[in-house]
Amino acid sequence: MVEVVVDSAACVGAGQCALTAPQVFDQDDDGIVVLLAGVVTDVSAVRQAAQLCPARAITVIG
Amino acid sequence: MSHVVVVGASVGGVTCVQSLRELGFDGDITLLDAEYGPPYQRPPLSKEVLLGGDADDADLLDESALEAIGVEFRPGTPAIGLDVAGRRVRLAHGDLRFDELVLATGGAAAVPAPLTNLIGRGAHVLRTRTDAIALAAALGPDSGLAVLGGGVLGSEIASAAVSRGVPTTLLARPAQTLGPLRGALARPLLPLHRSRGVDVQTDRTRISHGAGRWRIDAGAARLVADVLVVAVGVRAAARWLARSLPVGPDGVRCDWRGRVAPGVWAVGDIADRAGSRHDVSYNTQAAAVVQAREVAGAIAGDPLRVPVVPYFWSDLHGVRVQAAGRIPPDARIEPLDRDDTGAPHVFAVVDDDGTVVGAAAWGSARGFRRARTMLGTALDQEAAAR
Ligand SMILES: Cc1cc2nc3c(=O)[nH]c(=O)nc-3n(C[C@H](O)[C@H](O)[C@H](O)COP(=O)(O)OP(=O)(O)OC[C@H]3O[C@@H](n4cnc5c(N)ncnc54)[C@H](O)[C@@H]3O)c2cc1C
Ligand code: SF4
Repeated sequence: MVEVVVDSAACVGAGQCALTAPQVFDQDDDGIVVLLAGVVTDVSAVRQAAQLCPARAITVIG
Repeated sequence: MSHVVVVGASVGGVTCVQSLRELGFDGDITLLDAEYGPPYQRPPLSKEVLLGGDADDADLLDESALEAIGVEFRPGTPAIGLDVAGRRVRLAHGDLRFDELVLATGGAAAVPAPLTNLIGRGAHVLRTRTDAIALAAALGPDSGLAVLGGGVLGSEIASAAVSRGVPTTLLARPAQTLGPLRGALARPLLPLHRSRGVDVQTDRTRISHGAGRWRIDAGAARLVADVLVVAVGVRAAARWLARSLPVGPDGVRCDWRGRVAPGVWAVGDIADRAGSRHDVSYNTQAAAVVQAREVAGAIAGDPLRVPVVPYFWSDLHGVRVQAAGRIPPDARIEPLDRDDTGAPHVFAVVDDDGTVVGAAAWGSARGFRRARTMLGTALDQEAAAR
């Protein structure tokens, strides 16, 4: 189990996170990331989303 | 045990070493950079940092975070040559042996020969953290700024400067492109600059320097500026590789996976990657990040399985410009939506057989998301007109 933190000020609305781990990330009307679950069990998809975020706005702790 | 050497510790190199560890690679990793200080990313340099923000906010991570994942980070250590067959990187003091090498040395500000004497006289460029701090300090309401080059970098500098009250002239081309955006896709650019008070000049310019000021003749206009920034492009930082690898003006040639030679890979701005030229992310941080993850996956034996759509963004005068997918040279541009003034600001890019291959939007997150969902589908004219 890991904790996910998003920096919505750094988010540029690319939407790659919602594509990679739709159970964990969504976007609001302005395209900015919305965290659906802060603590997650499907670690690999979330790590991949963090690695692929072009603004490097996602941090996975643990 | 296997030893991976990564040369270049900006967003490409750092994402690569982090991904290697996250994918379970447990060999040795050495990360080199020519610059000193903690690794940082560049997008904030022309945005938050020029607006007066803290330059440290551009840091990617601190050195202890690299130590914690078992990466030997060596700042202030430029690579000066490469022996591909002998698997050695040449440094100023001795060689470094590798099993796998990742080239991530990116690019440097390109200054065409006739302009190099401007730089010698104190004109600015913007590529590194040091450049950004120097430029931010030079900007003030009492000193006029001229920006040579109206592309992404020049446009972001002009945008940050006018919002700080700096009288700003942008020396652009009449049909100015913005990164991957050209033609109708880039048409909102110059009107946007003008509407926010940037003096845009598109005539041929002559620049001269005297008594601490820049004199600019642009067509009939005669201007003076206290600060000049040259933002006319990037050249790959590949000179150190020219004797050992196939290097062209756009960098090191590699296949679609980033492979250059056995045991040698390239990511980010230095990689001249087969098949990526028309991706909207060509030579952006977004591409460097994905390529770094892909190459780490190839080395660690855990390839990327999710689809990644090429992405581009820029922030100009508070307007977010976004694009996704590809923009082939012969593509057709279909406007999908117009702004309050009736000018098109959301677009679909359509290839020969009517398939939407790209999307772009100026200041419309909603329009962008709608256009992006059309990627890969046949353009539905009726839906497009709605
Ligand atoms: C001001 C600015 C703003 C930008 N804004 C955006 C944006 O909003 N969105 C976006 O997607 N992209 C943006 N970009 C582009 C983006 O920053 C680049 O595409 C990205 O930095 C490429 O990453 P990289 O790791 O390949 O190379 P670089 O970031 O260029 O890093 C290369 C590193 O290698 C080091 N190096 C070079 N030569 C050697 C050597 N011989 N030995 C050892 N080390 C060496 C350098 O010191 C540097 O740290 C911007 C660029 C700039 C300059
Ligand atoms: S991938 Fe990153 S930039 Fe894109 S929406 Fe998600 S958090 Fe924001």
